[in-house]
Amino acid sequence: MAGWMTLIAGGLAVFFSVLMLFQKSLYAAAMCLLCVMLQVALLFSLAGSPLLGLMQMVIYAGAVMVLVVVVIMAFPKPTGSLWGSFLLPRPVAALLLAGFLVELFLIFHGGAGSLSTAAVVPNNLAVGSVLFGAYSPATEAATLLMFLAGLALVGKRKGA
Amino acid sequence: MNPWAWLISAALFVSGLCAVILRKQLLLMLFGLEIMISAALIPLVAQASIFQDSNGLAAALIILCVAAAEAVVGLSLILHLRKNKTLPDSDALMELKG
Repeated sequence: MAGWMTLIAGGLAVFFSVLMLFQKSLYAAAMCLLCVMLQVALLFSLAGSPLLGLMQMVIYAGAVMVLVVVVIMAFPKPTGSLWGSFLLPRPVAALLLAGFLVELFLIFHGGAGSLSTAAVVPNNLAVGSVLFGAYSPATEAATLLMFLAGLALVGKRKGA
Repeated sequence: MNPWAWLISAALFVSGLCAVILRKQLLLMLFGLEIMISAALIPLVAQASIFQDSNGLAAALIILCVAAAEAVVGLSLILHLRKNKTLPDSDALMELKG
């Protein structure tokens, strides 16, 4: 069952990434990116790392997409429809919806255990001990980088 | 997962690369970069899980955070360009001024 889920998630991710190439509307492209990132998070979980899947979902769907929408709102208002030519042919849209529904059914039908195909999922505690043990300088550097990236969004004061 | 991980990763990477090369809008180029980074992470996570390697998963987590920081910096640069009334296209950035 996990093999089917991998195929569906991977297929949907590739489809939405290709669909993003042809979008004229930035909103539609951002929604395509969101779908790709959610499918990649599912692929991480299927690969045996639910923690990384959760992080992918929290960081991209929760944080980066908010910033993307704010940046798009700063752009000039599109002349046409907000969603541009995002309308898909009905059979394709129905196929996509069926794909999402099958994913949801497989997740809920198989329980949480269906999300992992690896024989033994590495212990999250071990990942944490590596992050704050041998990799602690890299962890600190990544933290500092994220802090500085946050500062980059803060506007410069007048006269500063 | 393993046999398909490489194929899905390759397809995602190529489509992200196409977004970077073919599109002129900076925001869509940034989207393409994000897809490429995520595509590169898929086999890393799959192999780390197969070999039960915590180091690989930790490295993937750090790469994920750095990619998010890079996205934030890119978005703030695009916002800065927009504030300066520059078109957010790659054509507008052909030359450095000053």
